[in-house]
Amino acid sequence: MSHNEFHNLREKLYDVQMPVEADLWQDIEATMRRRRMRRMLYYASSVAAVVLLVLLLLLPGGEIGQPQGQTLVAEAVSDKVPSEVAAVVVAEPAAEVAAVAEPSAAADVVAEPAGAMEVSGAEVVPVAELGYTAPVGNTASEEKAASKVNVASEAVASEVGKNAVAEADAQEAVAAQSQTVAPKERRAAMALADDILEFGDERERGNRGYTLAFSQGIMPGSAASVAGSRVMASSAFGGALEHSHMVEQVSDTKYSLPVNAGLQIQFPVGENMAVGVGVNYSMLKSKYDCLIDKVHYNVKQKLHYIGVPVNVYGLVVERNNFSFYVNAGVTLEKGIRAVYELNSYRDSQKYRADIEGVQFSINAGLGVEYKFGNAVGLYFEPNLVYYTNSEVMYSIRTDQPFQVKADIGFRFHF
Amino acid sequence: MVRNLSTAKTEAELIAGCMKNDALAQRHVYEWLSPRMFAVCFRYVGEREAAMDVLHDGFITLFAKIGGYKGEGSFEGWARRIFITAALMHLRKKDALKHSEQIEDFSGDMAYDPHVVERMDAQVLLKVIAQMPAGFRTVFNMYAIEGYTHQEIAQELGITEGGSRSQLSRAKLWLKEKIKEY
Repeated sequence: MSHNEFHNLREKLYDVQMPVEADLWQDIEATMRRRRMRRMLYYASSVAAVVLLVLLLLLPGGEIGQPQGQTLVAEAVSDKVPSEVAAVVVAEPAAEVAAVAEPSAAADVVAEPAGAMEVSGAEVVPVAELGYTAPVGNTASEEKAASKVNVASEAVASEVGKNAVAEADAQEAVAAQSQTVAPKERRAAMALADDILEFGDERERGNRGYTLAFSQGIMPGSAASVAGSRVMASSAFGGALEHSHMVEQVSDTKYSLPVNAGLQIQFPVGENMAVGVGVNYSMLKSKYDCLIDKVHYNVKQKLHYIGVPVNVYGLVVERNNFSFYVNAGVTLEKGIRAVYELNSYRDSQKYRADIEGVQFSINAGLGVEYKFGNAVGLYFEPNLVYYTNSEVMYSIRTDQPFQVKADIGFRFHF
Repeated sequence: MVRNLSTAKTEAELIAGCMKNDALAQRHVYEWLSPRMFAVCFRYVGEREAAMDVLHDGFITLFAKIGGYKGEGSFEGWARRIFITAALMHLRKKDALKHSEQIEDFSGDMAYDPHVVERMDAQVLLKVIAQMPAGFRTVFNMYAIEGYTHQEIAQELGITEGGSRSQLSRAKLWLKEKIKEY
């Protein structure tokens, strides 16, 4: 049986074409997007699992849940141990909660569990108002509070972080107060005294100085597709088109995750605060379809910005190699270049244009840093950002002035 | 500053773009290949809706595996094999190929008149072939249109070479009867 007998048939049918339904490409694109998302979720889950595992391995047993543990112990102790001991115990974790939540609530949070204590709420408030929680016994207010309790807690509070003798004194003092208490509670009180002293040691270990940070960030909350079409002026694409054209956007705008990278120097201001000044680069990508003189084009827009961020950082808590902080600041950005790629079925055109005006934004957020030794730290800094006057160039910042950004980078301490 | 750069997209550029997951390059490859590959899918599965599903799955596979194209042979030929494989998978899922092995060797004078085929419109011919029973149709498509050998068909479908020949003979007989109507 020869192939030749099918020659005519093959010639007729090999290259025959059939029209395809218009929405099939959207289905294919959606499927591919779903698959990419699944892959990303898989990778993110894997990375998260590894990070979690590493953290669990790095942290000594029980450290992760320490604040909660102390609170529980404090409550248990407060029933039977003299109130002065409980007061010292409660102050630290309660102030942490207050610093994150609402400063004015700090006094209540602290005062309530220590109902029998002599420390007034007003004396504890300044700790929370500072916006961070220092280790117990290290701030003036806490020392003042400690001075009002009995000898046992004075021994603990005043000697924190000073010398090894204090540890023995504190334990003895606590033990003395706890003689009438059941052994279980006594052990708890002793453990707390150890913890308090340990915090003092950690504080001595901490170094505050100039830091240099390299960061790269994305805005995970900002990738989006914004619906709607618009008639664009002939000056669309930043005025890049050389002649007057009728330009109409005919699809939703799909924004990619904005990407930024930067360099920053931090200067210490006071004991637990720092000011950071730097320079960063941001790129915003988006794409949409439009008709230019009734010809269908797929448009890719890239905007490049250089900015100067100024941030204030406040240390919240420092444990082992981790430090948690809050930050707030402003950034002034200048658009340096807009690039447009216009693609039709068989050709493409590329335009570049300048970006007029400046972009202003304010931001606030939290951060966590893990120090590898004393010199290098890896940090993660999620922030809320609000962009103003972004109308100078149509971008995701125009559609979504409120965004979440997440910086990750290395910090070098000098 | 305004700068205009115009470039024509070559096949190689489109393929390179697809390898980088460039959505626009993927769209262009889709626009370029989809009408022909849709016809291929339709020839194999015989139903328009099912052919759309196969075309969809074929493009997903094509973009996922495009890194495997090493530039040996035409890209369209490479892509065509992906769509044929997708169509065969679809037929297997539907058990449409299970009768392939049950047909015994079949011989006889079954040649159709090639001149009739010449006179027929391609679209009509396509629809006629789509009506063929799935077992015959698959072997007929692979042998007569795509140019597979019986050995390749046997390997692909998991049947014997004799079974492939029998299927082809039956397909020819069926086609001969069918084109009498035109």
